[in-house]
Amino acid sequence: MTKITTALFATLATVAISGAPMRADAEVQPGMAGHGWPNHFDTCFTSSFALMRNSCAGTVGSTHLLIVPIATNAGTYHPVARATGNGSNGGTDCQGIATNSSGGGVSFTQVVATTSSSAVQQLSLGTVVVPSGGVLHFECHLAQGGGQLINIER
Amino acid sequence: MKVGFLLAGLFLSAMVFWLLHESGARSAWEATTPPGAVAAARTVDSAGRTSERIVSPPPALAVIASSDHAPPPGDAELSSDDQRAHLQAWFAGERTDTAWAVASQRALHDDFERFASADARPRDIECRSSLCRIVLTLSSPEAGSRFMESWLHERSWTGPGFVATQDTSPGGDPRSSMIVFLGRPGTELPYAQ
Repeated sequence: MTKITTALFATLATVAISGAPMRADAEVQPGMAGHGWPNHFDTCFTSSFALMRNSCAGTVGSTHLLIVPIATNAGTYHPVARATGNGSNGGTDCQGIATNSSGGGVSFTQVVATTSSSAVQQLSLGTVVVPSGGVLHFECHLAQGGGQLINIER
Repeated sequence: MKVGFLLAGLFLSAMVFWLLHESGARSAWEATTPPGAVAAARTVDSAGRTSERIVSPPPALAVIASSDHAPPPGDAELSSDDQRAHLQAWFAGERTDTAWAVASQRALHDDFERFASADARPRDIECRSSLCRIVLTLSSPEAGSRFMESWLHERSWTGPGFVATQDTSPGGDPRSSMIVFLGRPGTELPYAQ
């Protein structure tokens, strides 16, 4: 019985591994690769290692917009952002946007937000389609008083 | 002896792995699964309420969904025009969820009007059951790009979307127009693959 169980286990383990999704081309872009909008050099943004933080105080609900481009090929992506709220009363939200080379075609994900918790939260943004010759970037509204974008994986 | 059973198990699993990949079972399954069907299973309406209702594609779209998901031979990537045509067909085949459609049209009207100008203005907003379509009249294609950029930065609508320009507005208006498809918040757009 033990021998049969061993053989069965080996079979199941191999099949399970072979069926797991392959993420060989996954790319991670740190939050600190981003810039502000509309002020490119928004001084509210401070970085610490890979992350970017909105260090400005502000009214509850106020945010600063961080734009993060990421290198990509044409294709369909399901990006994930890792971000935090400000720890008290404001969340951070993100969306992914792909544009074609003429700017006349745009595909964008839903907008997904963190809670106000300062713990790192994983935001699954959904699907974005990058056309041939197109580019992909992410837009995150970082909460006042400490909202952070750690990184984005596509 | 135990090692023998282990090796037999590994051989058997290798055979199963080979058979799975040779038969293309996984790719066939992916190709015949409508892209919006699974994601649409859990929907969130514009008021943020979550429901578990399955939003199935309309019967008339079953053929479109299964035939368009296979990439055309020699052309693995679909153009913006292809995606626009696919979404238009999907939208045209959807039944209307009146309560959601009316509330969404009102919300989208307010959201788009915040950014309207003489150069870019929403002309037609229509929602069905999982998709909304907005036609913008533009003074130039560049005005459309500027409008969409501003709207995306500050939009209230949280659902996914797709935008494409058209050379002329429907009805023969010589001005440029832009067509926007928006998905219900919490769902995925039914992209052609």
